[in-house]
Amino acid sequence: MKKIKSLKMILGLAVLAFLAAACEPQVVEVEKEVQVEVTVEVEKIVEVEVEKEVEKIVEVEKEVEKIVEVEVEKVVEVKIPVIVDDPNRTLDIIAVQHAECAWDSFWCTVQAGITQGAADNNVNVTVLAPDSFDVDKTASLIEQAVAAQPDAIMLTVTDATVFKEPIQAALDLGIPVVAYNAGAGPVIDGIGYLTYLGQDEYAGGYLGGQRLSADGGTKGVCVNHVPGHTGVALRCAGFEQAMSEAGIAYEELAINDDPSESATILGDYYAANPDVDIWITMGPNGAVPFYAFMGNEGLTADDITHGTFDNSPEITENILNGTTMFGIDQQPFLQGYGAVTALSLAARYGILPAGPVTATGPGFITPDTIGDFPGADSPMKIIAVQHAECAWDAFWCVVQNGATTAADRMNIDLQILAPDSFDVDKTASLIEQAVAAEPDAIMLTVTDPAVFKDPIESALAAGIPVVAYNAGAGPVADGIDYSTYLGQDEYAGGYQGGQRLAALGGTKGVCVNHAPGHTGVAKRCAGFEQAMTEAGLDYEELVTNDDPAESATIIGDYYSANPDADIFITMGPGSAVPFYAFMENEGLTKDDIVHGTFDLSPEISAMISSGVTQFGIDQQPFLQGYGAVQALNLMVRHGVVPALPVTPTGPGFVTVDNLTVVQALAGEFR
Amino acid sequence: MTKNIMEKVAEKRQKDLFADEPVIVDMKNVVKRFGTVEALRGVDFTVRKGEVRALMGDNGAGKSTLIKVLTGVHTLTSGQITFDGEDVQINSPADARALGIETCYQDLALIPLMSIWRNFFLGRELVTNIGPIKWLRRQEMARQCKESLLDIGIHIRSAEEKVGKMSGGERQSIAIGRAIHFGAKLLILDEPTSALSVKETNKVLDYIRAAKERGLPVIFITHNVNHIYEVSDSYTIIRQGQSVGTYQKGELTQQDIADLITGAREK
Amino acid sequence: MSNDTFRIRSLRLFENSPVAGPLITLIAIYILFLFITPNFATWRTLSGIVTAVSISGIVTIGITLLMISGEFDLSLAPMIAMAGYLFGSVSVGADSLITNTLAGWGLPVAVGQGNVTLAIILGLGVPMLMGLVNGLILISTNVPSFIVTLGTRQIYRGIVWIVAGAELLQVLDDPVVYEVFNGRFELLNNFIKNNIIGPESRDRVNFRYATLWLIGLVALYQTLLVRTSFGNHLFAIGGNAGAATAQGVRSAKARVYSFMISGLLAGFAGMVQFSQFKSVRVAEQTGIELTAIAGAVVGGALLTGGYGSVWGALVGVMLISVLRSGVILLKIPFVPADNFPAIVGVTIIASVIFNNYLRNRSTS
Repeated sequence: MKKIKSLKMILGLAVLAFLAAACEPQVVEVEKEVQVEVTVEVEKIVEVEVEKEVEKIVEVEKEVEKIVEVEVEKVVEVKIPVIVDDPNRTLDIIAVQHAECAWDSFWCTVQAGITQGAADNNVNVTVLAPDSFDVDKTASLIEQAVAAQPDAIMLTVTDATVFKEPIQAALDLGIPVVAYNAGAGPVIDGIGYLTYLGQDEYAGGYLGGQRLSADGGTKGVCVNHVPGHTGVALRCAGFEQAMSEAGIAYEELAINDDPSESATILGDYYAANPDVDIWITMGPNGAVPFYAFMGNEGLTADDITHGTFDNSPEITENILNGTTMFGIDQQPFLQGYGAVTALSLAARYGILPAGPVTATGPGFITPDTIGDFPGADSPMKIIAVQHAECAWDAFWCVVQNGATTAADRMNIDLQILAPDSFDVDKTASLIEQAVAAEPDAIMLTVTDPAVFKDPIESALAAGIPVVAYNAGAGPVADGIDYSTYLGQDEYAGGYQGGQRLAALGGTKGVCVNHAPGHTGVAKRCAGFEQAMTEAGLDYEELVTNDDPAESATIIGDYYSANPDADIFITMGPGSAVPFYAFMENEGLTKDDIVHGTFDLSPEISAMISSGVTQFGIDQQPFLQGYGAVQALNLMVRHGVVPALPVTPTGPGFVTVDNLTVVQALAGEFR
Repeated sequence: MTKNIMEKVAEKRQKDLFADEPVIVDMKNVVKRFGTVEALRGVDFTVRKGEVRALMGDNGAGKSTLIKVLTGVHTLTSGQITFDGEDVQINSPADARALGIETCYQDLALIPLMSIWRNFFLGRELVTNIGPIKWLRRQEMARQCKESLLDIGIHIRSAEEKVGKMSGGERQSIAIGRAIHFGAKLLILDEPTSALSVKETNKVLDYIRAAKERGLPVIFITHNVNHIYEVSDSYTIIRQGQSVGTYQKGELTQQDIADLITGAREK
Repeated sequence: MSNDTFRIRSLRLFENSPVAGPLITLIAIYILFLFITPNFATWRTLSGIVTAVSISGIVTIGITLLMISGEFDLSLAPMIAMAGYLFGSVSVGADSLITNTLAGWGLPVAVGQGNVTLAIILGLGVPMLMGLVNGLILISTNVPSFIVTLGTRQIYRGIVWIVAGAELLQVLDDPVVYEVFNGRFELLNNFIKNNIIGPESRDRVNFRYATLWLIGLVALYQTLLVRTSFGNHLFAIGGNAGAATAQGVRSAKARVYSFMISGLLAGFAGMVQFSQFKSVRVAEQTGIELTAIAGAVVGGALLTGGYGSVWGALVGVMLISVLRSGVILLKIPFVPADNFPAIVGVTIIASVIFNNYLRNRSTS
């Protein structure tokens, strides 16, 4: 009798398992189909590689791109520049722009930024511009610049098609190139320069909307005087997103270039929609009729909340008298300054901008930011408060080296404070000490927003600007109103990594996650998933654990069950180590699968140089320290504020092209 | 009223059959305090060779404390213990064991998840020393265990059987068999028959007799007056931390004993 | 007649062994997967299942001994990491804080000049000392080992963090000792490949030496457990500590020894792991204690102590490994690849229920 009972139990288990496997046959069939496709594709790629073996890698890349073009959105690989022999020598940079100071005061500000950037980074910049707006002439100026073989080139990409060839010539010589003011970033422009420095229009609308709706509201309106303009549409979209997150109704109102007609349109619209209480205008051409409309209706700052893009004397006046909450500045100074800094870091240390677009705006103009700033020659003191320091961990030596390098260049007195051991409370009291010392600015690591909130707010109340670096989540997520957080953008890391891997072709992308539940790692997978989806590939997340032997088997079993999985991204050595063991077990080579990973380790470096791993993603600690000092320098001395709540310092991609550079600079700059 | 009992005892005074036997345990004026609570208030207690002595008392009367002092679980506060003719200090169960005092507590005697022979030889394993490793002589222990038990009339199917699978009576038997096997000088049984069926109880009482036949003195704590008549030669009654007296079999009726335990006739 | 007796006897032996339940489950599930799971009946899968437990299996031996004596050790992960750092640094003379410090103390190791003997001594000795400290704290305070080791877990992690210089250690060298501890078992792999499955098959065989070490250690410690008085005392302490003490078992000593053994095994696991992966992190193997406890429990050990076997523990971790591989290979549509641990969890509970059922039959 008892034996029968135990038999029953086994039978029960068997039945359960059979039920679970009921759908299995269908799945197997689908698998077969997919498998065939994969083989064909892989064959093609291999063919191409073999044919062109001797030719330049760039060309192979192009061919591969062609094959996957149908499925994958065009992805441009950023060309990794050659770094200079001596990082301490003065660099020569040529700037090519489509306009200049003599024409337009806007460009004077850009050039002032360039000059200041050159001074702060030990760089000589030569600015070239045509006599009048002329795309072809500008293109030939770029050619001239390339011929001069400077250490780096910065330029305005007014016409991506015409400029592509001369820029490519510079890139092929290993000269680092960035775009500023005009351009759309390497991806959209289809040219492999490092980054584009300009306004993030969507973020402008979004962050502006958040400010306008901070005290609540009923309905928000985006007043658009140039309907159909892509950049302006992005501003409205960002504003709409902020409204919807605040639970406020939204509408877009189209006006036109005739100010009196537009004022009437605004008046009629307001009569029909008296519940509108939040307005955003797209620049002086929207703000002029808006102020006229306010005068017509007899409205005051008490009736409505208004913000606008751009600046003008009238807007400044209204900001000062409280009618308008802010003007959104694209910060031309930062476009020039930032371009020089980005090139200096790339050429000297191989540190690359984290994203295809580096935001210089939105910079919010408020009563606080209007006025004269002390300028570059004023003495300045920054206190940095960190939860760890160089003596404990090589990583922190690199962060500190970034901060001190920037402070030396910019003539800033920098003092670094850290507790004896990891201790949140002690760090908080160090922040209090720093505030009491009344420096011009404070930079700190926000390891615990709850504990640090009070001391940081006391600094802000004392008028001391604060930025966070390395640890933190940005002012919004941390709930503390500091200026920006400089650290890795995990989502962008996963996303850009995914794009690079998908560009090499494949069927199914797998995010190998050894730390399920970790928020940062989850963002990496989410970004990777987005890239897979956009490329039309399948995606799955595979959970492994901290036991490498077990994890290697998990990946192996998964691969057996999903032979269509051919793109893998790992979250650091914790999942890369078992991943390589899995490859060894399965006898897989770089021809079978495509792999990229976060972080670096000796093994990952070896795998990058042997071509198994496409890249390691670095959070660029040097840039965290350097960028924090630079951001405070710009705020205090020049009134230029960080554009975004999070300023990404990574992903910094380490590939076979810059591996030796990174290794040579490891410990000091990387 | 108490006087009545004493008179009765005098009338029916029986001869102490063991008066000429050597004294095994002699406890004199034993006091045990737990903080301010005085559990034993100067108890005298003597057991001679070959005698089966029942220890009776109400819950909390101090009978368990007395036993635990004797077996090293508690250290006495004051008083004197003489064992086998020598003054001794019993500070731990190991001390008691070294003297030859075997105890069989209700819940502290055996390990249910271990086999009979492992229980039987626990702490006294037969081993072959291979360097620092003490290699168990398993077959030998299983054989000796089975034989020893058979010797006192305990029949087991296999020494590999888990103790947890055995009945309460069988478990007591193993503890008793173990004491005999290892040549104990005194066997103490703590409520050996509680929670046992009548049949099981009789078996245990048989094993106690078997121990007695081998000249092993036995002290057993019990609530059950019937058992006293069945196997014990004499009984000591403890009440409120003091010895009421030691009586020979047949000196008191069951009612008398019950009254002495509860102290009913004093009131 | 005699046949019948034999059947009854073997059945009874089976009932008495803690291995019975998990072994029945393991075989049943393995056979089940053979039939229903594509790609399961391959050498690749079998060697993968076996290799997956090479580290957790070794740790589970120690945990099983502890659990039999009624104790836990939650501080094994930092011991593994510690062994990894010490063994890894010293075996090849990696340029690390450890190598430099030891060289500074005058020990025979220097950057670029490894010392395998010293590496093994440190890799085994230091975790054993950590186990000793656990044991001493336990017997001197009588705080439950669960709490003691929860505390030392944090302390040890801090110590590893300092010893490691808070850095990942990874080496690219390949000394012979790594091969010995956990190289590919090519003799066996090639034999199977060439003689059993045929060289032209796409199936692969990935056995490693760690499996041999694991089997050897299981045999060794199972013997220690059932054939020596030390093992006997562990069962007694875990089964009924009072009774064991009353019978003269020196429980403090036995418990300290079992913590030392568990530290020693964690150290060995750390060395085996480093030998294959040549890398170690401060947070290495976080949570392995719970995996090991799960393995021991699935393998028939009781959380309350006094019952279990090392063989059973091996079967237990194997069972979990078989389940995990099977579930992943099954590709169950509603169980995505980030959710298979849940299925494994359900089955762990089911198999423990089955174990309890069998044990109750054998002990009551």
